[in-house]
Amino acid sequence: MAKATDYQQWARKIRASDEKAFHDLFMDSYQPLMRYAMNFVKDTDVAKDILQEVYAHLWDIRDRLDEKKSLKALLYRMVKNRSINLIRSRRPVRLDDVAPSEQPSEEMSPESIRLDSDGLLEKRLSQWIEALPPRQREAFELSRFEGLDHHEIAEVMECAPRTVNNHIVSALNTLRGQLNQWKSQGENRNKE
Amino acid sequence: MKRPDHDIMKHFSGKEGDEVRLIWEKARRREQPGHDATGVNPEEEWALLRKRLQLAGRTGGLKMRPRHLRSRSSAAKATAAKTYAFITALAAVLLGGFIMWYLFMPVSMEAPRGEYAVFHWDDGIRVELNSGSRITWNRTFGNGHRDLRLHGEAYFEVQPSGKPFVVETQTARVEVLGTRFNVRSWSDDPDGRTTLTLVDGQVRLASLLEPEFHTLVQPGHTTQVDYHNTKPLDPQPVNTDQALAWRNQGFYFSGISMSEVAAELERRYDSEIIIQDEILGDRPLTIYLPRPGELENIIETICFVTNCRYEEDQGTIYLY
Repeated sequence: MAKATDYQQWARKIRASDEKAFHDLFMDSYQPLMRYAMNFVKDTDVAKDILQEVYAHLWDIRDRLDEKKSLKALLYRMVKNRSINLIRSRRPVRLDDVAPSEQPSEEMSPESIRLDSDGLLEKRLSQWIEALPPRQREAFELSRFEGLDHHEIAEVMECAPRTVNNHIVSALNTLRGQLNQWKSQGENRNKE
Repeated sequence: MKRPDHDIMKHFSGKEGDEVRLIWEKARRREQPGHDATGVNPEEEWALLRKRLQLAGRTGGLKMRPRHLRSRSSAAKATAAKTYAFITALAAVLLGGFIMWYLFMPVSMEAPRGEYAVFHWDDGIRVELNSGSRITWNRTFGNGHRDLRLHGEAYFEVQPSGKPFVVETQTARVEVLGTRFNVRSWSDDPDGRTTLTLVDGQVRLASLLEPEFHTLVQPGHTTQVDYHNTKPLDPQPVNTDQALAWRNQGFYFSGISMSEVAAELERRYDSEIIIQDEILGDRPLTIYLPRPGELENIIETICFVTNCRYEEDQGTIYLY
């Protein structure tokens, strides 16, 4: 995604009904937001509808855009709120349940265990990330995958930036613990 | 690729820092089989959006059709004695546990949503709790109910006695001799703001996070601290009747965001209010309703002031 300064400029231009700026924003943000929406709804058509609603609503309220506030954070919040509202309207659900459901990990073949490469670490890491507590996971993913800063994450998660900090530090500590455990298991395997 | 923020990295040194950098670099989104978002063409979606917005004359009246419509002997005596001993031991453990629990568990009193609560103690302390607020204190340690922790909003009257009286919130510590004052500190506030309004007497407010920052407040003044501004604001003169409007079921909001106003209404009327427009939720609102009456009247007033609309559905109010 483009830099925060681009987003600030776009916000100013969109306020002034600049369709070109709206198009640039759309093109820059569409795919990351699509991926983000898919975390919640898991259906391409539903995600497309949510995004249509989000951008249409943004255009409707353009005269009320606040340049001092992060437009990027606003978009993420809008996608998250609409996704959660949609899921809620379909079945009773707790907010914490909204995080993507864990998928059974495929069994590792003996070859792939011996293959102690980075590829395997990456695979393990994504499983560990999925197993994090929901709020820690959300903060970590918004920081690492969506590139949002702590103030933007605080706006999306509706909590204090300090809390975001705490969530990410806790997440990293959990992941470090798993990394070290995994490493020592690898060493034991190599000895055998 | 973006590195973790500096304030994250400062928590990790040496080997830990290297591990964090490795985690950061190797972290990947899990590919979700069958849920491939890359098949979506943004250009097509843009064309759709453009058509929709233009057809709607840019007022957003047109709604798209969603695509996803979709026994007894000596042995027995011995056993009985053992059982008896066991029960005695168990009872002792339970009693001990209960005493420990009684001594160490904080005592808690609250005003449920939609209600108010008033407590007073013989030593000249009176506490009025706003809806959805709670005070807790420790029976054994400190000064008992003269050392309170507040979650929400409360009005305090403390008769001078020479003994200290302390109220702690998520971000502040308020120390008192004899006085009447109001403390507001809701845990759902992202900034963790604590607002103190003094009616009479004198109190000292210190930041909980950085106790070296403190301020003395005079009667008729207000001050505030939060997670970011750990130095209390210079006390400002304030209309205490307005700040204490809640004690008579009234409302006073000054430059407070719509979402915060909605949270307050939800607690006072034990209802659900959903703001469907993020920008509207951030909008500051200044409103004084000494005798507000029904929730619907307040919502009407708010909609009139902010030019928004509302809808009620099964007891939930939607603002848009």
